[in-house]
Amino acid sequence: MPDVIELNRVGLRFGAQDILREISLRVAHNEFVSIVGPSGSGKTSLLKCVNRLVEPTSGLVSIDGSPARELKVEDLRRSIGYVFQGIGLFPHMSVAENVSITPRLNGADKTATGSLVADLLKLVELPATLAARMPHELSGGQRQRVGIARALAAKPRIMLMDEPFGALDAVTRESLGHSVRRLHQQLSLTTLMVTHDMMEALLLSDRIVVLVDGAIRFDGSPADVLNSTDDVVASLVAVPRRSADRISAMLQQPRSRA
Amino acid sequence: MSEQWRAALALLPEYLGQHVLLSAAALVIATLISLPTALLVASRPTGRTIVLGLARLVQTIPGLALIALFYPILLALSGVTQQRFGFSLPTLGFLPALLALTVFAILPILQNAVLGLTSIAPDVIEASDAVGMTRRQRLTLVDIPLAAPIAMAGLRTSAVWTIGAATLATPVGQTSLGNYIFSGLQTENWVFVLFGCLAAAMLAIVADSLLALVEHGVARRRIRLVIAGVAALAIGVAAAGATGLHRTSTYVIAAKNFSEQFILAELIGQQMRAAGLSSSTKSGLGSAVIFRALAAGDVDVYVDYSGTLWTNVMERSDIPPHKEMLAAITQWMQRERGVKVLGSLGFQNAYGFVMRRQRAQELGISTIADLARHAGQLSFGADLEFTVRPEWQSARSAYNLNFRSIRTYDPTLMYRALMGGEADVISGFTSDGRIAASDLVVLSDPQGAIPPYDALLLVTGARAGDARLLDALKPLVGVINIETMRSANYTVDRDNDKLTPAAAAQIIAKRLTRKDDPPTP
Repeated sequence: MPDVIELNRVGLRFGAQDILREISLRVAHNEFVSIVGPSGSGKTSLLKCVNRLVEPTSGLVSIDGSPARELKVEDLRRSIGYVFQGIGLFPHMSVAENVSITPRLNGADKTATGSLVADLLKLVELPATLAARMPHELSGGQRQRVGIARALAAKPRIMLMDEPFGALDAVTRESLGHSVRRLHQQLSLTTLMVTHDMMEALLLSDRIVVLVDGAIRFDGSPADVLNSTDDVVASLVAVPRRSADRISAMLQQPRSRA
Repeated sequence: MSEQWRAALALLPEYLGQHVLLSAAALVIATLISLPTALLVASRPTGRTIVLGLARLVQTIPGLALIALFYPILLALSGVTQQRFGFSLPTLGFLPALLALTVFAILPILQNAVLGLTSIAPDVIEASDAVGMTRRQRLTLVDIPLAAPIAMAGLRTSAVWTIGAATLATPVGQTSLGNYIFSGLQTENWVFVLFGCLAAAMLAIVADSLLALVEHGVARRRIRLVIAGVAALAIGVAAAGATGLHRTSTYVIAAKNFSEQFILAELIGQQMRAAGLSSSTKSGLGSAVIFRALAAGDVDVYVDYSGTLWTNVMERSDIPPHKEMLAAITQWMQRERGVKVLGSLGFQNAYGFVMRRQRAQELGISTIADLARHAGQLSFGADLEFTVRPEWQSARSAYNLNFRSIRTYDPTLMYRALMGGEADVISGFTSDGRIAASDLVVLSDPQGAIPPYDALLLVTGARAGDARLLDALKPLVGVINIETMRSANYTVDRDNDKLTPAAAAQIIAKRLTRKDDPPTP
């Protein structure tokens, strides 16, 4: 059985600038892979090569073993969930209309999508009463949950996420992170997530890919990341490690005082 | 006062109906042009700059000039279609007004539609692509619905502009609410001017409110509001169409933009009605436009003056004896333009240099030659066309006239300027009622530099053999003397107790029938 996502020596150039250099990456079924790296390292471009929001200049992207560029681009995108920091809910459509957009593009009529909307809202832990609301009436966290529901509507097997929690407060990030991981298991998704936050990557992923200047610098499990001697990886881990140390120290103090 | 209001109100269905039809047609066509153009250029920065630049350029042309420009354009086009395809285009009335207003109406709609399409948030565009919309789906599901409320706001702006600018359609012969304003200004009938302004403003407010309803409905996605607004607009336009198109008249009478012409057009109309012929009047046309319109058959009948035809149309600079000139004009009109000169009405309305009697006496001026000696200290007020007419060139060189200053005025305001002392001399008209009433003098022309201006009744070539029309008009030939015309003009021009041109025409008609002396054969 082929890997769900396979990038084979993918390169991307804008003018004289190399955005991506010879990226080769395989993501297996139901794997949760995070792409981490400093800003400008090409993370978002790499993600967009998968659903062809960006067309690679060289190399090959395959989905379930077939080259992505040979598929009809709209069909490819409709079969892949896409969630991003900007969320991009359609401001003139209700929550229900936003959520059911992809099935409707695929030809489903409005009556058929009614129960689907209810199921999806439940799946992302939103009350069914939100279906009739307009996007501007929702909080940031609710909006991103609707964004996730929209991405899941066409029952995709792949989920692409670009800084999905970037614009949210810490509490919302945390609870949404849990939901995403749960949905990943529950729906047997294959997830590729871009984040600049190593902590988030460590807590959610099965595997972490570190991208520096458009090339893969490191590829391994969260445990491998923590034990890596690579200086870039170590610097990316330094902040979460210090926070964790400080918090565990604080947690131990009252006990030692007692 | 109430007499004037009643007269204004009686004309409202026709003027308003025509105004609504014209504005609505221009807005619909402008929308049909603007929206596809916006879709085409929104994503192309160069195309966008060019198209918006062009639309903005058009907007800088004054409305009146834009409307006036379409007359020569259509005249030229009409020549081409006549040659190539054997049909001619109407050069006056609805078509030039519609084209000019359409061009004028485009910018706000186009600009807002482009703004609407280009201001869609990048996140929304990214999402549209990511959910797998095709180009067409993105257009219909995202771009158009999001741009629609902004484009609607542009349509509202455009509607208000267009309804205002449509009042300028009057001078090219398209009836509109501007007829109140133009004729009111010429006859100093401020009730008419005010009525025209109020009616146009009210119409603009109503149209704007209904479009606001539609815009609100589009933005809030309330289909009922959209339907209600569109239905109300459609009913309004249909009602206008019913009153505006109902009138079908066989003959078109034209008038230039001053009181005497309005009265004579009414008189001709009354005469034709009495003979069972229906007619409509295009009033407020410019001298150059009106004759070409007659020659082209867009106008059937009007009164022009021998001196104007001689110098402006025939481009003659010599001034032969009176009778020879009339014979030459009649022949030339027949031969060159197929126009039938039915005869002189019996009076002249010449251009003359006019001064206040007291001022003229103080300076010892009674002829243009006397005037030339003092011209260096005097300011001259001319009507809008006199200083570009050949008569002015001829008088100026014959007497070596060099005024201290020259200003041009609307004819009505020109008399005001003379009375108020802003002008010492004006280019008056000898049949003007204000000359006797305000104690003015017309300076004599010993060198004969200004040609005679007999009021000639002209009929277009196509109607030259129309016996019913000619029989209806012939009784007017040779029966209106200068006193009759002056007093009729004064009843319309005076400040108090003024009459409408129609009422003044009725007075002339009564005098014609009361007088039993038969018209000169």
